[in-house]
Amino acid sequence: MKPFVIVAAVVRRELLRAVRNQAEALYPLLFFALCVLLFPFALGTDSALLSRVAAGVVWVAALLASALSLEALFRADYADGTLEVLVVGGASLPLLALGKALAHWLLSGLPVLALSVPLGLSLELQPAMLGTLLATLALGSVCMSLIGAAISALTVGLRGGGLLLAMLILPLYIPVLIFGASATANAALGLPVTGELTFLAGLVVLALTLTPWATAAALKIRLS
Amino acid sequence: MSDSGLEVRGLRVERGERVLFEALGFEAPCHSIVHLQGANGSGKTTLLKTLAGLITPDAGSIHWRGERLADSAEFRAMLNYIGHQGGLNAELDACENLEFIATLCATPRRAKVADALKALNAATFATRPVRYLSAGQRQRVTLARLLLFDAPLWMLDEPFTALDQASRSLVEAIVDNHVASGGTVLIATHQAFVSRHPLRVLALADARP
Repeated sequence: MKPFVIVAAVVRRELLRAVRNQAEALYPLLFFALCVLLFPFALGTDSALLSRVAAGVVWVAALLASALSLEALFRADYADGTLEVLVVGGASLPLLALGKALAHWLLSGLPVLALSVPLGLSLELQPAMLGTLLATLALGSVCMSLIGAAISALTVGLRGGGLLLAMLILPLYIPVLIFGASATANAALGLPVTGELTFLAGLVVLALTLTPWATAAALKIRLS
Repeated sequence: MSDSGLEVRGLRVERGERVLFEALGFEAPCHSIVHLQGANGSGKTTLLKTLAGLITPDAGSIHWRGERLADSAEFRAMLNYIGHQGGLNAELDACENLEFIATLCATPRRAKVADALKALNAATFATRPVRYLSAGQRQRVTLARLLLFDAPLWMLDEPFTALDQASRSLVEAIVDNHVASGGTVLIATHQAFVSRHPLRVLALADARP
């Protein structure tokens, strides 16, 4: 029961902070929408071309939005001493990390998922591919929040941390992107996508079991 | 309960290629207050952070009640450390902040958040976001952690920063009570510290280059 209480307390606190500071919670979503909507301006209004690249564009924009929003994950807690208090007080850092990643997914992954429907359709994404895009993005965004929390912990409080975070994190997102993009490409051709979905689900399980401990270790390094 | 509290032997800590202290040893038994003194940069905060486990010493050992500490979770549950930063999130109010810290920390709880805040005369602004509190009010909320947890060893790093005279006396009384009930207090402050109990002064020499 105790681990559940701790994770719930962390998630509740993050949601409360987002409600109190709505602007900061909205930036990554606006960034995601703008990122996707730049492509029609760059590529022109050829709907066949847009339809082909739509899923990839949504995926890359989602990766960038995730990387952007992860910078703030531990920033305030590092600056105001909360992390120090928790470490000295013997708090379970893996559970803190798990709660943080979960809250990040609720505040950034889930809204991005919802936004990707109208944005995908606005890029002439075939409605038949929408289900696959959402399924892969759902699994992929969980991975991104979990992996991202570890890198965010590693770079918290460093000068230029935001750019460093993006440079470290985007290569780690590549496996997720490969399976996500390959599934949507298969769906476009009417091929089965269970293989890719299973791999993505496997990545979620792997990230869920490993990254909370990696995040905890990274936080300890940054505090000593 | 054994009378031996905290015991430090041969401690050496280097920070940024500067030896802050070497062969430092002292004792802080139960029912005692140790007053850390020293100029700015002499290593008071570093010493407290080292004892709290945030910094690994280069040499020496720290004992608590006769047992040597490595990185024991048990010791963490015995310790209440108040550092320079309060650990208060600006968006949340005092109650939300303290409740969160109390839920996550392994230290056993002694009092309700509301009671701890009331004891520090912080109840009137307990539901206002911390960003709207003055520095002194924040410090009082931070110090409410002392009453929140049931920990015999207190380490206070400049606890009187930004406090007014009334709050100072209040904190001094809280520290006195803790010592009277068998606690151990390490306090680093530049200001005069008034106590009913005899103070053990630990003066840190200026750091060598």
